[in-house]
Amino acid sequence: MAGTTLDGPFIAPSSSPVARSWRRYRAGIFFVLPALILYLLFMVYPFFRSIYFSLTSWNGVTAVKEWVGLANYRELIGDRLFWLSLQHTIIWVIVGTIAPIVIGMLLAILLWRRPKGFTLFRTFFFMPQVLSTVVIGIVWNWIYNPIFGILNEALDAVGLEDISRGWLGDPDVALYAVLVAAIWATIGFVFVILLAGLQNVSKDLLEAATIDGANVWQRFWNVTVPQLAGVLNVVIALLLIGGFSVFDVVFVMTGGGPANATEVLATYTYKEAFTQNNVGYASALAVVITVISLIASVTFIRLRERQEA
Amino acid sequence: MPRSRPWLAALSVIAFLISLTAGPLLSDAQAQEPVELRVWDQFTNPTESENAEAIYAAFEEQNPNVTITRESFSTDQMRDVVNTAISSGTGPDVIFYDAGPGYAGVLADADLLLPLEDYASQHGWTERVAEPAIEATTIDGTLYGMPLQTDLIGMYYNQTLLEQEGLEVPQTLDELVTFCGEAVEKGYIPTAFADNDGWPAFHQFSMTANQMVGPDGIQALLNNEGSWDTPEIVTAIEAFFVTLRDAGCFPEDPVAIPYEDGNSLFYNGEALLHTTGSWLIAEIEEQMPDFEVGFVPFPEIEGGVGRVWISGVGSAWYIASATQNPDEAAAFIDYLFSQEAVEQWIEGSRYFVPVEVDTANIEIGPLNSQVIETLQTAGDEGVQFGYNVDVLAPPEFNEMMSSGFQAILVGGKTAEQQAADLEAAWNEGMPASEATPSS
Amino acid sequence: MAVTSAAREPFASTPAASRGFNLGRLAGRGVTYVILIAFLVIFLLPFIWIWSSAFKTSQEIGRNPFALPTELRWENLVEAWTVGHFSEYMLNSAIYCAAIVAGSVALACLAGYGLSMLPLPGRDSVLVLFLLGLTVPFQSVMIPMYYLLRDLNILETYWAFILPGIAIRLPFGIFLMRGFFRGLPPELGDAARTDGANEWGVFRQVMLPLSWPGLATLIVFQFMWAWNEFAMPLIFVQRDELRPVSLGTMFFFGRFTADRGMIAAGVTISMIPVIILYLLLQRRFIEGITAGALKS
Repeated sequence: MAGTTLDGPFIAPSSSPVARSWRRYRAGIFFVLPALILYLLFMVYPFFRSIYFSLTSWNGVTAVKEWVGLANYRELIGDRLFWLSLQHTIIWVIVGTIAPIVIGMLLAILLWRRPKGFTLFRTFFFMPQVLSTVVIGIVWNWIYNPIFGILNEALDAVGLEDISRGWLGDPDVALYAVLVAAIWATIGFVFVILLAGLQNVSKDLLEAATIDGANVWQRFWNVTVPQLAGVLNVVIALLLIGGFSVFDVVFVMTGGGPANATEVLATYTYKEAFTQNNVGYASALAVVITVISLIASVTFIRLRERQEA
Repeated sequence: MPRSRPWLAALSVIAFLISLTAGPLLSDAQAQEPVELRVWDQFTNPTESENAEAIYAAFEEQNPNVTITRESFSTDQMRDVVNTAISSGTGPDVIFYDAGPGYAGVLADADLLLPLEDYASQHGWTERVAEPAIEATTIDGTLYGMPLQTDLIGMYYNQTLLEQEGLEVPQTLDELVTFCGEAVEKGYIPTAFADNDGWPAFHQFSMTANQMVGPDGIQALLNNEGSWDTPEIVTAIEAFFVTLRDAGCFPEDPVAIPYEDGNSLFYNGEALLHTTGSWLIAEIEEQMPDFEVGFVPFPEIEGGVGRVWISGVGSAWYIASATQNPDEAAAFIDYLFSQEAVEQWIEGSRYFVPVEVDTANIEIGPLNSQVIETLQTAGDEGVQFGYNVDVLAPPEFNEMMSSGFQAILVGGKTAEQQAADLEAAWNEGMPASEATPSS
Repeated sequence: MAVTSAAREPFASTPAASRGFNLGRLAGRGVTYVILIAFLVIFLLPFIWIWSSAFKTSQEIGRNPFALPTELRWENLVEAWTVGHFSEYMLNSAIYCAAIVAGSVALACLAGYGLSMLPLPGRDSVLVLFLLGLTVPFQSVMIPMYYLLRDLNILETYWAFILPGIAIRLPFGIFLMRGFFRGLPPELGDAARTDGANEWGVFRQVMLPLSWPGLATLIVFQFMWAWNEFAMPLIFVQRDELRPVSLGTMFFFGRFTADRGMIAAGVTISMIPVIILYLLLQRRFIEGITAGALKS
């Protein structure tokens, strides 16, 4: 560890062990303490408060928070809407992770050799990433609008009237319609990271594989992908964490509707906590989100370690 | 709400005079202290928005120490954020919010609204405003809000286009079904029903349910007597959400279309009918100068009690319990119900304020007079209004109406299931919010 | 940063390039461009549509969405700017961004340095505590955070978004900066120490100047987050005059649902500044994001 090298010359021998360790550690404490205080107050403390709230029936107002033990969690188990939003969240995590990676990978590989127009493509592919989810949500709301949206207009123009519909109003497709907007906004991010990762893929290995008669697909799957494993892991981890807590784009585009077809855990938690005043119950939901996303992250890290071992 | 005659008969001249004198007195007493009042309202369309600004400005002029900071929200967004805002203690002082246990009731249960009893007696509000309307904003025996709008819900029709196409205004559900077929054939959208927001369906259900079980039946249900899971309610649900859907009465994908866009379909003549409330009159007059528009109760459903108008209190003024300036907030609300302001609400925003006014010198359109005349029949022999269910139901029930009717519209649920779910949601919601007020 | 500097090198000597021209390759290139251009359309069309709609009336937008505006109507933009309070929102966003970026970068830089270069009791536990924050979603803390901010009486100030904003961005910042400092040889500080500099002096004079690449990455990351964050101001910022652009745009959208030209204008206004900034500094943005993501 780097720190141990500082033990030497400038720490003078001292009278008491307390004073000695103070002198030894005071610089470190000075550097870390401001961040730690803020973090403890605004992250760690609220985190544990969430768990505490989840064991009460608090409505956000009364001075007394009535202790109800695990009642909120028991209610969760029988709550149809909870299971529905969990199911939607899982769909979101799966599709919202795979799709941007597949498309981002395609674009990264096409631009790998920096064809003409490289900067132009890269700039515009990445552009949605700099926009706020509110803007993306509104833009896509318009695209899907059944009266004047360009998606239906475009489908009609190419003779696909049968497909065109009120995208955000059809419970069977609404979740995927919102997902498409989110994916559209995420591709750029995944793409630039994979593009950067590709720069470290060994061209010699690829060439060797070509000479051995491997086709494009084999080269991609057996040579490129393994070398990208590290970068892919990062991307997957980021998309997973973002997916479990997805809120903004759903809230802006559908608010969970129609008929709860796009309700995800985070929007459901928001409603319970901040429009229905069921703070205790909402906190139980929040704890569940935390546990699920921790389990997913840990499992993912474990898998990755096993793979690497 | 069924209305009784007294409020119309008793012209509250005294209250009016009190309000004239009390206003200046109050502001004189506190003129030194500059005060900011934060007001959240739902007047988003341009006509209503400008009118509200003008009324606020007039109040500011009379009370130079008070500054009004106004913010307006769409109904949907207001419902999303009003709780956090009010409980933050730094949000609005005065809000214009939907009445009933599902909306303001949630806030009152959480002690976020200021009881208005004292101010009401101080300013004579209860004498000035119609009693049934006051009851709708009374929660568990305490007055919390001052109702500004009495709504009438029915069916608008575009008379100009109907004449042009040789169509008749449908009087029964069967006629409506036939009408839809003909309208589609002529290239029109029959009704501008758009349910992306979820709440437009509440009103459709109120219209059909009141016909099927009668306003008395609905009142019983609201009083926690009886069940929503009955064949009559199933028929009521089917009449609108299944029969009319299958008859092609709605625009394509009604669940995908926001309410505002549905309105536009009616304004620009693409749709011939629009089943919604009287709050739209100002916009209709503004947007449809070339069309003659009529307003009737929903067509008769076989097996029911016949056609009824639906009436209810829309939104009302509330004061946040966290406000620093309750006296000024009350003075502001008092002004909003002064003779001068009421005339302006009626003339500029086309609201039906449940306050006795002399409409002689107010300029109103034909639709307006029709609604006013209809509302004034309240209490007449044999006249009964239906209840607008959502402003009297607990939030769980409204949530089930919102998602359930959307599900039916897209074919994901049957009317029977929905009736059963409504009953379950009612029972879930009732213990907490107690029995609903009614007259 | 090794990754990104490599990215700048042109690829002259790839195996495929050296094989020269043939028909298959030409066809391949054709397919490549067809796909690339298709995606370019997918990414650009929505922007062009919204921008051109900002110059149209609501009726025009409904009539033919693809048509270009018949004339350049600036009224929508002017009106949206005035009634939409966008100048206020922009200023607020700038304040939030400046404070959150400055605060989180400074604190993360200090803590990242302390946690990698200085002795500290329980250092590993502190580090793990911070790193756990990377996997904890905002929902885990948002409810108590709201009541905490309320009890601290700062919900009506800019702090309501700034303080938790900094706190929630600390884990990422610390992780990034710690990784960066660990890449620097610790001996660098020894010379300064023998000259009698204290630890602050070593950090200020030796380490900080070397950490600019890391800081630049962190600044880009935190800026993008702060500018676009939505949930936190939605819950914590209740006053219109304190709202950032993202939130202001959402309420604007709700207020003018039926006025399409107005919506398009509002959305255009709200995205223009960040798009201009991005186009000017696009390489910085992309490299910052890449480096930040790969380091974490």
